[in-house]
Amino acid sequence: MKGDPQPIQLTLIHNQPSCRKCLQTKAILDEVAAECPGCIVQSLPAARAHEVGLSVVLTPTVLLDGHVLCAGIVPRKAGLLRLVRGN
Amino acid sequence: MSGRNVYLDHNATSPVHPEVVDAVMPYLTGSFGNPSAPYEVGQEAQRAVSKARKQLAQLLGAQAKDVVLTGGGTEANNLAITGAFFGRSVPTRRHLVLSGIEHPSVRKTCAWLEAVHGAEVTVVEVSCDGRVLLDKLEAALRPDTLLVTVMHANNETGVLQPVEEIGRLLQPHGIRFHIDGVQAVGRIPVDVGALGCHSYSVSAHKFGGMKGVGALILRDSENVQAIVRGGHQERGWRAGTENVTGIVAMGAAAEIASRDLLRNQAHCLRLRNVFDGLKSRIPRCWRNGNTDLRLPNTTSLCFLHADAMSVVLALSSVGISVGAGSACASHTQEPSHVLLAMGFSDDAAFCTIRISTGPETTVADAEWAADQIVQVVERVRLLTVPEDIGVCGDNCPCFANTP
Repeated sequence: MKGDPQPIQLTLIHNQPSCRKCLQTKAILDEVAAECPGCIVQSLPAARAHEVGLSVVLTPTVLLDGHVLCAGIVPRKAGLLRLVRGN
Repeated sequence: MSGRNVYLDHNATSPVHPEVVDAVMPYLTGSFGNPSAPYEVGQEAQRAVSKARKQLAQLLGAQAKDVVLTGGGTEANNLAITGAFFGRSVPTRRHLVLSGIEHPSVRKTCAWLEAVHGAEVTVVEVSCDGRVLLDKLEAALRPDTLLVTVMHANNETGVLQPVEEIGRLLQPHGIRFHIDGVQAVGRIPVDVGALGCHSYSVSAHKFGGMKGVGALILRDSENVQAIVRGGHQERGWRAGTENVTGIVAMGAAAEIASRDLLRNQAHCLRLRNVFDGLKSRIPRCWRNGNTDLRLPNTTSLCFLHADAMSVVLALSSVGISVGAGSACASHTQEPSHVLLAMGFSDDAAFCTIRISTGPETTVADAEWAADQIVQVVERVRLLTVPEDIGVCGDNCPCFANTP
């Protein structure tokens, strides 16, 4: 029996209030999620980063299924799409 | 998460050696006395401090009487530099010379003496492979030069500095020579007598001891002034009740380092080859600093167009700890002054990581970590916009410390 495929989770750890980089990154993550069915975006303020196992973060930090992809930079959308699609 | 933890940042700090833990335990539990006290429990602590002093002296080819125990390497550097400046016998001798790759405890101390106390400071260039240029250093000397301060091994690149040559160069001029030996001790053989220095700094937690303790080997204390006053401890060189547990730990770590030095060197060289090999596995990667004149445990690598902080944090999320070649402070990201002094661009400095191993690092750990680095760099490069490297957001507090 095949169950429902697990959603791919992109997590953004951001400052509150968000800085320019955090806002740009959020927009890119939303665009990626819109183009990748099964991809969901979670936004987490830095003060709650411990919930995903991080104690110190550089914002914006982007995680893919719990693994840090990048920190302190706005990710390139094309690269993120490749990683989310797994190719 | 892989569940695996590989610590590759020994130049930041090293784990306390298990034998050191055993040596310290009696002083955390029963032998708690103040070494200045005349009764037995105090004298027991005093004997432990004396033993540790001898153990450290033996590792460094020094005399126990020259060991001034301090609160770490930073304090030792402060004592060596400010102590020499304030204790100088000729007030007009106020010129200090340092290299462009010194630790902040040296750079900022010299800068403070210049800004507040009338010192004149010359910063000497280094070569593109990270070594102090002797001809430039010689050209910087003046009749009023009081002190030259150069590190033994650089914390970021591991590159060894020509300290013996500098010692020989300065000797006829009667100029004080201080060596910051924090990264070298326990990793390469050190004989302070052969280096021709007047003082040499040590930090215990870099070689298996505890944080918050170190020493200045003060081989020539003439015209040097204490900077911490208010007690007779350390023969007046450093007032304050001794950190007995930390000192015992440093002594034990020194004895272990002495015993295991050659074996650890060979082991770390083998590990270093694994990480040096990343240069041929990752495109647009280069290894920084002199190839041969380098600490056996250190590899500094630049992965062009892969933001180093992203690489460091991505590695951290799979259980690997490495250092970055940049520092992030509130509202700003600063490229490493060491890499800039070696002629790096800001971009290259922001794409550099430091890998530093220790005796407990296994070959299997190193090989696994190297494979992870290959994957992480490839991923980070997919995401990095080169123009954004090192650029901060608007009014963005870079580090957010979470509970």
